[in-house]
Amino acid sequence: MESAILIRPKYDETTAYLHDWSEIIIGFAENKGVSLFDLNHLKATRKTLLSYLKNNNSSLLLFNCHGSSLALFGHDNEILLTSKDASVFRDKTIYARSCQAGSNLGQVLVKLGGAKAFIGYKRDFIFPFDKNKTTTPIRDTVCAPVFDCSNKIPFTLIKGGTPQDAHSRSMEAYEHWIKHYVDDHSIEAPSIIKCLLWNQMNQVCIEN
Amino acid sequence: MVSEEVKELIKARLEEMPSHIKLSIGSSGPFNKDELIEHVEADDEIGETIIDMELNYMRAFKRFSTK
Repeated sequence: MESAILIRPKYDETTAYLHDWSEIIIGFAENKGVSLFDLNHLKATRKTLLSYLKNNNSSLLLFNCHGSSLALFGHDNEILLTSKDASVFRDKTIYARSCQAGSNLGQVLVKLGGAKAFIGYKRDFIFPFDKNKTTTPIRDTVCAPVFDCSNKIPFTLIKGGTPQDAHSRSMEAYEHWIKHYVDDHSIEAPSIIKCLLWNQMNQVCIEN
Repeated sequence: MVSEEVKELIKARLEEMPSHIKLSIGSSGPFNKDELIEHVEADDEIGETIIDMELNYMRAFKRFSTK
């Protein structure tokens, strides 16, 4: 893989966490010699995304944003893509760390649009966080296991692994962290386990 | 739709959630425990998600405790 596109708006608490926990992907891609186009903050718009898709042959798209079963959303909830854009994503591998896009949108992009694969979540992507750490999400240990599991997907794809490899690595990480927190007696453990179990259950890898 | 009995059980479990923890669910905003309980009581879409998540956790915990 030569290049990838990272999409990460930042305009509320949820997108701030998604944004900051995606930062690590940039350094990882650099180390692996993969060019990564970073559409962050105000650049996370439909116009910019379509322009990058048109002018670059990026085969991997990494969305970190709000979503629904029908669309993904950029800066200030602007629609980034819907199932009507399916043909634009032909042969692309897409990971959406977003709510619900794995239920319908992902199916359409792969089955009708010809995307190579779509990894996402059938229902909401849920994470716990410490309300006292919102100014420094990366230092929030409460959300860290969920983001560690989900970051396994871009890491594996950037390294050249298949979508199924990426999905499997992520599933292994969920198992690891769930076992870890079952034996942990901190007051945060139940909230963390609930979110890990939920995202593990709802994560799907749809392939053509 | 779950019974009132199950809903009460879930609300009691949510009461045990630490007050410094919030859950990011969907685009309508992160929720603290009081807000999570309100959504369960309201039987809305967020409440349904919370109930399903708690039930999934309880089922999984059975699995952990038999290991």
